[in-house]
Amino acid sequence: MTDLAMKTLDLARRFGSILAVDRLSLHVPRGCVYGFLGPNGAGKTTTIRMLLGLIRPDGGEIQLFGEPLTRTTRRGLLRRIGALVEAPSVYPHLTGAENLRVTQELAGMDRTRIAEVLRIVKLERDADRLVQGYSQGMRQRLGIALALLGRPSLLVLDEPTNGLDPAGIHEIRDLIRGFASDHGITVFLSSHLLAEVEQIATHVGILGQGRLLFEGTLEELQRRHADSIEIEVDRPEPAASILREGGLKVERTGGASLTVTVSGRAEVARAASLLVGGGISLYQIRTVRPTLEDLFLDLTREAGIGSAPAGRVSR
Amino acid sequence: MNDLVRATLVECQKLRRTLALRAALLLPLGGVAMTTVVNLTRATRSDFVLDHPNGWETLMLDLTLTLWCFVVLPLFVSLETALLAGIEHRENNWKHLFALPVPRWTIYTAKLLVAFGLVGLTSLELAVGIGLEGMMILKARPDLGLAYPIPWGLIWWRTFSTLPAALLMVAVQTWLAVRWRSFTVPMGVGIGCTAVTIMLLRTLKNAASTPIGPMLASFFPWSLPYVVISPAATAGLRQTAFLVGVLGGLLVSVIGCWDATRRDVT
Repeated sequence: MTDLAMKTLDLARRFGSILAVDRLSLHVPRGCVYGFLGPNGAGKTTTIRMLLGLIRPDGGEIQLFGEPLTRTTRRGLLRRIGALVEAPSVYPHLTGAENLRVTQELAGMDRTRIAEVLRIVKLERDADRLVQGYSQGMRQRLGIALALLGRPSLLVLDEPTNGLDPAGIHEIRDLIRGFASDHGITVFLSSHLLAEVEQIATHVGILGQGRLLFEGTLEELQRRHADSIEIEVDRPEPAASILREGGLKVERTGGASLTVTVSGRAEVARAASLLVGGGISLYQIRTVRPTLEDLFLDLTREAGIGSAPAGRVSR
Repeated sequence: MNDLVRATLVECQKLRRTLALRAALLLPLGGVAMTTVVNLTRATRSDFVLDHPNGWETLMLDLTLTLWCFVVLPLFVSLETALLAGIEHRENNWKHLFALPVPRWTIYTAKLLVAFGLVGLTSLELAVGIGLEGMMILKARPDLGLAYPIPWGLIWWRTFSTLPAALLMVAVQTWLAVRWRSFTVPMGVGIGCTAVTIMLLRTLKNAASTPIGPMLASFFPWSLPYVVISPAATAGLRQTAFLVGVLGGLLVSVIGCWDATRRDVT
């Protein structure tokens, strides 16, 4: 038995002259939360649609649970996958429970599962209300309930927190965290928000212009991109000289602040003691995490793709 | 086959609280109610023609079924199929349905079967409605010449004989409605083709002088239901319309299903 829930090999898809997905090779281990990151237009949704058999790849191969996804294997493999692609697919004129019953009966799933998934997404009390009266967050939770209905081994969630308020984002994040830890489900989560993914993901794949720029664990990503600290001091010029003499890479951020590249907590302490030893007053030290935009710029530069695709990025 | 049965039952569940179901229930009844009022207020000298059996054929073909097949049915089919497909288009539910472990063809075929079933429901309502209409006329206007017994067999035959001929129209409209997300496309085609139907069917009365019109009417999907019951059409035209409706309907259903199932879901 393979230890990968999903694997793609040189997956490609073109829309006219635009190469949406370019020789994409993903490796999603079983039981992980895999953050599939990229700005809008990077090819995430196209990839997900290919994984679900909604659109056909122009080239390459998809393997789910070690089995290639073909016309003949499609049905059996989809039984083990639950998906929420972009906005939840619901019928507003039906109640929440009726929506679940439609999918349950259509796919011949276990009827008792409806009550279970309603409990998991905390919609039991609103199950008999028409979905047209649901908030965006409730719709999103119903969409996740639909994805969970078939007891999936792999859950594919495409931007599940899109359009949600902070409370809704928090709720969905907690739910996703629980799927992997409590239910052993592999979660493949696409997002354009690094901050969102890094709180729950164990593995990350970063996509830019249809190409995979990075794949690995979150720790590997963080190791690859050294953290920086921003130090606010009383005298920035002498402070910068002291740090440079101490072998640290320093940039003037402007005003009384310096940005110092550090590798680990020990270097933070060393920078602080160098400055204090040099008679510099420290007002503030804070960690600066690279934004997705920073990562993209670095990764695209390394990959020689050129400028990063336009898209919303966030810390 | 179980998949298709399940998909069709699920399609029926989705009809709850929809305009599609309300339209299917109310439009035929509205049509019958309107023709009942017209018949009950007929002038004294405009009796039913004493055809076989005793004016009932005239009652059906003079107004109710003519009005239905000539104008209402083509528009109804366009509306119903657009509404049925709209249930999925509205929230882009195709991506959810086609990502389920269910054969794709069953989802399209179930949609088609429900559309056709709703047309069948309207035939049933028309049959019952025509019977009740006749009973009211017999009570309220015995002077119009309608007579007992009520020929239920003939009523069922006339109303349901339009159904197989409507298959081609249902298949074409379902295909259009599923293919295009915009409500305007199937409705626009439906309205345009209804106008063409009215023009073509008017030529049936002059079949001898303008044979091309009736011939086109026996091939034009939206005019077929009327051609199969029209007293003005020849037996040959009625037979052609029936065969075109059934065989063409099956062919377009297969093509539509093939197209819907192989297309990318974006």
